[in-house]
Amino acid sequence: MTHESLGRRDFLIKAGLLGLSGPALLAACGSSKSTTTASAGAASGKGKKVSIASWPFYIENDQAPKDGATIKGFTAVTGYDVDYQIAVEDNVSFTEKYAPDLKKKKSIGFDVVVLTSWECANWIKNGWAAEIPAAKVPNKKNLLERLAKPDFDPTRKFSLPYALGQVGIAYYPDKIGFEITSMADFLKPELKGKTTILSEMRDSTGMFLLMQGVKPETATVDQILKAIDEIKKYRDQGHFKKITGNSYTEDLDLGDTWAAIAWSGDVAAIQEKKPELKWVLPKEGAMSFVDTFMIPKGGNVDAGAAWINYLYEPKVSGPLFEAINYASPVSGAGDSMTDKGKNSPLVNPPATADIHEFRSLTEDETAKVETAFSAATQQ
Amino acid sequence: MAGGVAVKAKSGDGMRPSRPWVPWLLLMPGLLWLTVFFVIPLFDLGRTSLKNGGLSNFTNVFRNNSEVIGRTFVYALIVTVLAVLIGYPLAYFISMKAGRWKPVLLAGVVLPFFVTYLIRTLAWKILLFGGGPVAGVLRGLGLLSKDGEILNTHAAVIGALLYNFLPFMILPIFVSLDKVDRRLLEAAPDLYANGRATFRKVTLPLSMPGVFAGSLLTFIPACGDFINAELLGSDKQRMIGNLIEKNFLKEALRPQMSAISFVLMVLILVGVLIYARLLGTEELT
Amino acid sequence: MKKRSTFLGVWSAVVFAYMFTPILIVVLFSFNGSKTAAGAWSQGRYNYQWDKFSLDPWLNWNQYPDLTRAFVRSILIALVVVAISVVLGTMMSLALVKYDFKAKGIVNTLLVLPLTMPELVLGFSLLTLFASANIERGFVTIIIAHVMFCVSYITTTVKARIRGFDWGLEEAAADLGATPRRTFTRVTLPLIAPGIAAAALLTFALSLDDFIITYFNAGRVETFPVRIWNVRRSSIPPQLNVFGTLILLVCVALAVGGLFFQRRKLAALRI
Repeated sequence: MTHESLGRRDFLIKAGLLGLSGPALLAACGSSKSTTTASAGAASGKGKKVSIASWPFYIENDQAPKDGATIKGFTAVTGYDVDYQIAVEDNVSFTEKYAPDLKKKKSIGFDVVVLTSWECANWIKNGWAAEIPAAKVPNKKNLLERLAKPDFDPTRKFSLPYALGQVGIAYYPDKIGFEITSMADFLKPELKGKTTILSEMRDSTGMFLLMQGVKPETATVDQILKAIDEIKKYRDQGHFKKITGNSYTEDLDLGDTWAAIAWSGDVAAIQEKKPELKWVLPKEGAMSFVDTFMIPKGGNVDAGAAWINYLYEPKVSGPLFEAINYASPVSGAGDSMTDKGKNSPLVNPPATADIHEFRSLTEDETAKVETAFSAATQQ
Repeated sequence: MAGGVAVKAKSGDGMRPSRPWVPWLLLMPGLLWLTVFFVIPLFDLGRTSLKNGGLSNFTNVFRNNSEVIGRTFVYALIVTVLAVLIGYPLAYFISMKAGRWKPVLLAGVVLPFFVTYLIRTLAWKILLFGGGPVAGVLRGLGLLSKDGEILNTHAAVIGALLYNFLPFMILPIFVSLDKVDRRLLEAAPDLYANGRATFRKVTLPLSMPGVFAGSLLTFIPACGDFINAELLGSDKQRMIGNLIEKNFLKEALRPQMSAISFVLMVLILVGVLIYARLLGTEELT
Repeated sequence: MKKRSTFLGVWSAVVFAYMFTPILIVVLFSFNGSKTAAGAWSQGRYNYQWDKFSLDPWLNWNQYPDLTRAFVRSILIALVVVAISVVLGTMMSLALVKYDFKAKGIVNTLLVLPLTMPELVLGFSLLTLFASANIERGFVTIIIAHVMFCVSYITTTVKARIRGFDWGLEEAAADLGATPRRTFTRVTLPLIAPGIAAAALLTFALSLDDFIITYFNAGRVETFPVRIWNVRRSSIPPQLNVFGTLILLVCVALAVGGLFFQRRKLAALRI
């Protein structure tokens, strides 16, 4: 992210060009007729609030997100106040925290949650996700074709992707004294106790599968368990300082972690203060993920839908994803980016990149694999 | 009425009420609150610990978490011993040598309590991280290798626990030292050859109630803490508290978590009751 | 003898340095300004590394409204807790100091026990109670939990302060024809008020600072410490230290003020 892009976006807002559609745009330009429409829209949302649970580094200025362009623009257009909480450390712990309420059909206090696609599959199967009203999310049409029909939600009735990211390796070359190009480098004994890996089973295990030459798209349960054994082996040797969710960024930022299996956008954000930090996709291949919007049952469907619809506007999505350094699932988002965003391999991954997805697991397989993973990483 | 005054003069610590229900009326709201929200929950804890599985909850939880449980008690023990060793001389100094600075120094002992617990523990992170001041000094002295770490080690967690609970040790020791009759100390040189003997034969025995009280007040919260291990340690420093913190919302694991805290409660209850029996409850507060 | 004093003095200085360094750090890092521009990722995320001296965190104390709200909420909770537990605790301490009755020992033990239990056990057992009684956790349960341990503190503190008072004064007032109510407001209350004030102050600080017990029983209500805990991995801004320093300053001011007030009163009594 650059400061120019922020400045440019502020300018865009001030110029009133961030309007959602015709009327709002005209409203911003001062046409009296549309002003009434816009203020009516704002009035209907007045006193209303949308509560969002998301991950760190997932919206501009996420410490004071209301100062960021996306939320400012959203509130200006819809009248909704936004309560944006960085509430997700990893999928499993977030789900565990709210599962008791979800099972009792009680509201969890959020109108929108962002979780990874496989966890969304669980939520949908458990009946915890409310239907996203298509009529209230007309921008759904902007969803990239290749993401439109996942097996867990073939018509995207309950879920819509928020961001696409990569799992790679972040490292400080000055601290470790060599360049990392592969998982084998990451596991070199020189780095013992100075590395972290992710508590997300699919991300960490996927990287080890690729190292063992297995495609995560087609891996058998035995192969997955073998990769988990490998993780356990290195953990028992003390190779990993910690196995965490998104909080790996803390030790990485302090410089106490020298190399980490990391999420792409996080690294770009830390690089702003620590330009010496480097990012690499290991040559054995890297993992990817699709973090996805859902409206939890008991949440305010209208509020949630308004937020999702706003973020599916290419003019909103473009600058936002340029800022957070993840890839947007919204077609046409690239048109609203500067050259920097368009050329960034994080925002706009080249089609040639060796990036993989973890295959979907059956319930039995999940139980087996997750139990093995948590035994290997937590005991 | 007059009878009440007469009784009071004899017992010294309160009068026999003319209407026996008066004290109970005064006690009732508070006692009720403590009964419902302190005593009953402890029984409920015991009941929950026996749900789905009965006594096997206890054996399971101890078998699966023996490392964490053992570590917790070892940490708490080390913290307590260090606190006595560090805190006793300070309490002695304040009580015997500080003169008119006594109240100021006492206030200094309490000062850390005025900073929010979580914030003062986070301050240790600033002090201890690899590029921080403590690591810099230790490296300069050659006590820490270039790659050596302080955060995420036993030393970091123990050091911060010690920091957080040290005042609980110093204050009771100070109180018991301060109660020592100075005339005894003045007479002591006539009986014993030197200052060391005076300390060993007079001062130290008289201050032991304070040491015991301080040890309980340090050991107990150290056993139940999870903040220091979470903020300054890794999963190799986890304590019982971290286990419970991590699982307290999972209803399926609640019986096991209850079992472990029930055992913790019983152990501490026994310790406290023995103490109260032998030395009274005054210095525990 | 001399050597031992020197050793003790040096030792004490070192221990005090150990106790004060983190406090200094807390205060110092409330003045940690960021080198990066406003809106940058590193702003307000991890206030662990010194950037530059700045008054910005103090001037923009309300930059993180969720943190401010939690802080205000904590203060409100502490006020309610003090109000309830002062009444309950004072009544109990009066009963325990003024009267002789059977079972006094048991009551005393019951009062000390909450103070000696680890917060972990107190918090978690209360949680099991609320869970098995199907009580939604939130504001009310936080206050219940705080009053539970504060009552003990208040009772023991007030008890210690009012022991040895001449309760004969009350009877004298009654003999002179004062109504019980008048006796209480004119005689009893002035006698015990300083003790209560000190205990109330202590309770306020305890309630404001409590984390472990609160955390288990807060549901989705975020007190100041719970807020810090919930966002500890993603938002540790210098404003946290601003609030921490504020609490420190207020406590010190109240303690010093209390001491000063007491001195003056004592001096007045001597004349």
